[in-house]
Amino acid sequence: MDTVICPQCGSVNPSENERCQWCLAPLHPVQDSGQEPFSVDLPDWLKDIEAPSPPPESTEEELPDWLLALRQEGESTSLEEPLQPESEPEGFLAPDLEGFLSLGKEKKETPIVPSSPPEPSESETFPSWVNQSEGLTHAPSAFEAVPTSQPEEGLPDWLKALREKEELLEGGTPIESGEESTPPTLAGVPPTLEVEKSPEWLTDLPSASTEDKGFEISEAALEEQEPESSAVNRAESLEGEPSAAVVPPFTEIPEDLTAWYEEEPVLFPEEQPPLTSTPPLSTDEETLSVESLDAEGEREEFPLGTPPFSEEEYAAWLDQLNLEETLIEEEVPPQVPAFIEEAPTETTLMSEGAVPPFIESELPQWLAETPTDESVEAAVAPTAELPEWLEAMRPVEAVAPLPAQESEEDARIETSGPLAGYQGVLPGEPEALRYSRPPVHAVRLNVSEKQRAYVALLESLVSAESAPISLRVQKPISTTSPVLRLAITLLLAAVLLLGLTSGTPISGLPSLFPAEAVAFATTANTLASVHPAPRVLVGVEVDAGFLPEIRTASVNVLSDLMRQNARLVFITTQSNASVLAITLAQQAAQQVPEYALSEQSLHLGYLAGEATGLAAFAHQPTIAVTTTWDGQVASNALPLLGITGLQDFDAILLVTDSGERARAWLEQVRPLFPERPLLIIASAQAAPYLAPYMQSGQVTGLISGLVGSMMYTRLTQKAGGENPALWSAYQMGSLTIALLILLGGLGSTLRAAFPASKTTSRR
Amino acid sequence: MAMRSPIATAIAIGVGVIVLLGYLFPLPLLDPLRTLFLDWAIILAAVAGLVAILNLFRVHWQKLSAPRNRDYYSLFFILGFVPTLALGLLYGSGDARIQPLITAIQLPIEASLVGLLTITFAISAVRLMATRRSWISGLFLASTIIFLLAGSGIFLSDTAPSFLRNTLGALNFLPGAGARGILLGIALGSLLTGLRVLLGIDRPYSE
Repeated sequence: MDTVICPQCGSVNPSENERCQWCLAPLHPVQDSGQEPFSVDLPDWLKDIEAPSPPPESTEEELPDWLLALRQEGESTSLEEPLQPESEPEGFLAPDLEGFLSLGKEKKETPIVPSSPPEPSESETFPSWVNQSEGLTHAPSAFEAVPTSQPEEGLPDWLKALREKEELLEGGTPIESGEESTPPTLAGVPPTLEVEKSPEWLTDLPSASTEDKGFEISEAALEEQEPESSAVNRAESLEGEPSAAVVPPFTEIPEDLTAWYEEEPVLFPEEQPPLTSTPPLSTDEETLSVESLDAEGEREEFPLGTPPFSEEEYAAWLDQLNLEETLIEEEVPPQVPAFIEEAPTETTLMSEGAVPPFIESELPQWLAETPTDESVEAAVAPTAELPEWLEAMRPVEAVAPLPAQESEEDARIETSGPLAGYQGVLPGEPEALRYSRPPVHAVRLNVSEKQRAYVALLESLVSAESAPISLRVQKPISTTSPVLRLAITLLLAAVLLLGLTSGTPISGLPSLFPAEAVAFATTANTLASVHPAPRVLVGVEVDAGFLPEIRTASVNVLSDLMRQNARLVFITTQSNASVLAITLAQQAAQQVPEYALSEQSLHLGYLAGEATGLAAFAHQPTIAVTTTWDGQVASNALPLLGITGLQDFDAILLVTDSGERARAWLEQVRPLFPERPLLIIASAQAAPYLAPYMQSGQVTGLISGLVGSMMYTRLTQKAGGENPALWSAYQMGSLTIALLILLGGLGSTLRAAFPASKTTSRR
Repeated sequence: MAMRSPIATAIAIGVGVIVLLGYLFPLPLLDPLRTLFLDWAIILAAVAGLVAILNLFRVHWQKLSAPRNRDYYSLFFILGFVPTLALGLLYGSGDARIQPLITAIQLPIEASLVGLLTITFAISAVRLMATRRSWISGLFLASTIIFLLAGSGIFLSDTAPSFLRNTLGALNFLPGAGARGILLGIALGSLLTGLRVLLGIDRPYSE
């Protein structure tokens, strides 16, 4: 059973079906409608363009004027006459082109005069390559290929002659008619000739695969669709002949309009050219160029029934074609529709007085401004000529290189489904195929021994960081038991009370005196020998808490100075020591009733800045301290009369409980007071700190603590100055504390040394 | 490293150099400048003391007025500070009515604290070997006992054995030796600190 493949969905249908049983698309669009199968899809403007072309079954009366004029010219002109340009518009053509055009006219007249088939003698004037190409291309030639299903009786005579020629070709006999020969002037004409269906070897050509395919298909489809007259018109347009009457509106149609028509040969298998024996046609007219002609301009003849090409010859012939170069030079970008590519020819024709198929005002601007051949070549230029802003707007897919697979998929036509017949509209499958499982890389590393050692070290470090560290558990500090504290407190209090009440020291009064104490007592009691009223600067740098310790010594020394009628000037760097100084002076003055404390003594009060204040006072005492304790002018006081500087004082007496404060005096004041005595009454805690200054001679005399006070009293033999009760309490308390510490230390040591025996005894 | 506070550094170095030169070379030109700088320093120290007193009062006031965990001991400070300040401003610090605040309150309290400190030290020394047994502790306790005996004046009488007196007398030099070392260290540290400040290496004023 004969089957027909649906041009829409590609499914197989019985030949008797008029519509596809799957997609209901018309299986015989030409037979059913009697019109061009693609006319349905054509836009209105294209239909209008196609309308002027005479239908194939039109008679002479229905032919347009331009065709009638051509026929009349053909009738009036004998084929044997030399070819001459017959119209003025053709006069501008080159002689070779004119010769070709004359042949074309003969060709055009051929269907009009069916009784005059092309004479083979004319073909002998063409070169051999032309004969070969004619022999190869006679079937699909633009001049001959008229695939139609119209009955023989409906055809005009000229078409019948062509049919006869086809039948002759099907018999394997090459036609050597000169009317089908292509002159070399076609070299510069855009490609229009192509077979309906190229053999596989040609379609497999890489360079001519996709770019020209649409062009070829559209060309072949158009040639099949067009009647002979259209073919003649196309031939004239290809020749570049400015025909005023015959101006085919478009020689090509867009690829998408005729893509489905590639299946047309299936519908008319009987009209397919003998492709199996047909040598390949060149995709453009460059194969018919002058370069391929023999030097003598003659063409070779092929005997009838002999295939024009063997496969070997064919291959050799194909190698000479240099198809890639041809395609590159003549390539039309797929973005530009084929009918636009033809537009320059149309424009050229119109500019030369031809009747344009369109009213120029009705044409869209982009079509009206269709460039010429040169401009088309320029338009074919790469997309890099796009303006920058347009390039920036391009989608990423337009810029990113597409895989080769995608370009191959573009040429595929959907064969099933609602989108059957469309080409490259569903890229989903290829997109899906593009992604594949990521490659699996080997994860095994080549680790050297050194690296292993580093890894081990790092692991040990990390594990050491996370390992718990056992904290050293310290024994809780046991607080002193209240019983012990209370017992020690009560013991000390009892001892002190016992010493105070008994009044009997353990070892008696001191009879051995240190040198500093002796020097102190001697200096303090000999100041009157230096000056009848010695001016003594008394610095009181003591806190209230330590005053009881040094009070006895301080009061005794001050009283001795008062006895010498000394002028005492008190100053301190401690805020509360001023009151203590006044207190000490008052207590000392109580021992010397004849001493006029308010007149002979002066309290300068608090000196700010500690060491800095001492430095300022040491350099300019009258400037550093301008007022007295009670707010009077210091320079007017009696003790400061005649004193302009520190060196005017006869002695300096420092009462302090701190070695640091004593050091400030020694460092800031002593350098400016080098030759006069500096006596220090210090607390017992400051005595060791002042010992170096005493040993170095910076301190004239020093008494410290209660012991120093007792020594000074003993040295000065002050009556009533001795206090045996205090001395007894002091000694008893010191011995008690020493004994407690010794006992406590021994007990703790023994308890720590024999813990086991203690535990055992408890058990 | 970019120098921080270059103006302050320059001022500090300049003043330090002038005061140092005034000490080393008491020229008529340098001595007044040095005295002037010292007077400024005294004034600043006095103002600093005033600021410290005000800050102390503020801290105790905040503790007393805190919404939670009020420190009621600060109330005693407020009660002592305000009357003392008022009386001092009213009568002056040299007035006889101000002195009992020191002699009758501050002095006994501080003396009691010293006595309490004595008892605390004694108890701690007794328990020292129980809590921290080491040779340092033993040495400390031994030295404490020795100097308690030497400082008590027991061996300052003629009745004391001569050997013991001489021994304790020799031991009395040890505190002086230690104090000398401390003073030498302080002197060297002060010298180095002064040089570093003068050379701009240390800039405590720019912190």
